Amino acid sequence: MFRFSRGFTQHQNASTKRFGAGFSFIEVIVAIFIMSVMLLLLQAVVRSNVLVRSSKNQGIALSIARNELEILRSGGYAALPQSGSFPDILLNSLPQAATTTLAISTYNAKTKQVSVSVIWLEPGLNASSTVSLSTLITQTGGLL
Amino acid sequence: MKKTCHCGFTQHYRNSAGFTFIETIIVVALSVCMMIALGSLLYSFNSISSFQQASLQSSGSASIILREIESLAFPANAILQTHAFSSASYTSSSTALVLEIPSIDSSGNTIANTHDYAVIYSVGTNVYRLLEANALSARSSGTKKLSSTINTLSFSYDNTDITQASIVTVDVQTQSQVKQNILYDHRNEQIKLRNY
Repeated sequence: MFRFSRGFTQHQNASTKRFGAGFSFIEVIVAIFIMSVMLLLLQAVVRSNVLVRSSKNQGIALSIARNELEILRSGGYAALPQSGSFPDILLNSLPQAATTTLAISTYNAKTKQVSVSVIWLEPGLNASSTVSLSTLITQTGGLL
Repeated sequence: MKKTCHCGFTQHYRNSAGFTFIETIIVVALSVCMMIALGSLLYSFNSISSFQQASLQSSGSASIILREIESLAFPANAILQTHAFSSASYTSSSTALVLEIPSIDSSGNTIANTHDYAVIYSVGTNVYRLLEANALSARSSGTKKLSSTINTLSFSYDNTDITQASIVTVDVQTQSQVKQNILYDHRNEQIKLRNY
């Protein structure tokens, strides 16, 4: 249904009486409502795009962190490296400037705590995103 | 399109005037503009959602392959050079992985001296997992298709003698096509056999 109101020149004199009315308040409200619904829909789609991309990157980051923990576990207690960062073949699948950190601390006399994090800057989001995993690696009774 | 004048039923002389040609033209032009805007909005909704679906599908299937290989390789006690399954014989290589897994009963305890055998292999863009369980085992035999969007699947081992290897590195690349764009998803994980 389309409600059309006549009148673009709104002079209330006899010769132009036909064009007297213009748009009613209700019509303007309805038009604005329809436009804002469309804009909201568009906004939702654009935002969901950012979410899908960030969840995909989160999956990659989780895979990197899991892989690093698995490498450290299978390397054993004695081969644990110093804290710092670690390389991974998948890092360039993440957005630019993705970094990794590896923190190794002493948990007790025969156990070390290992934490790995993958940090990247999601385009479209202001804050950086992080995935962290941590585990304990013992001197005896590990995978070796 | 039904057009009504809002100017009231009492003012019959206004209704009798009808619309001028210019008014009609403007209405038609505005409607066309609205239709085009709505149409392009719908089109972009549609293409964005199919892009997202493909992207999630490709990363999801890469994860499914890795989780499935993990679930078989973690409990495995050896990588076999070759094993004759009832349907065919498979050989471990850079494109296939044959595993020997201790059988488990329904409560998860291992059964001595019985083994289940599993192979993960790709045919074209499909990846399959074939499991042949011992009669006593709680695992169920069968072939399962893990993915149909594989680009490359490769295995590398920590020992040139595959039977001596205890660590396998799995490299998976899946792809999905959305119109002209091809989306890739790359995963690379190392898995150590816990029962080696």
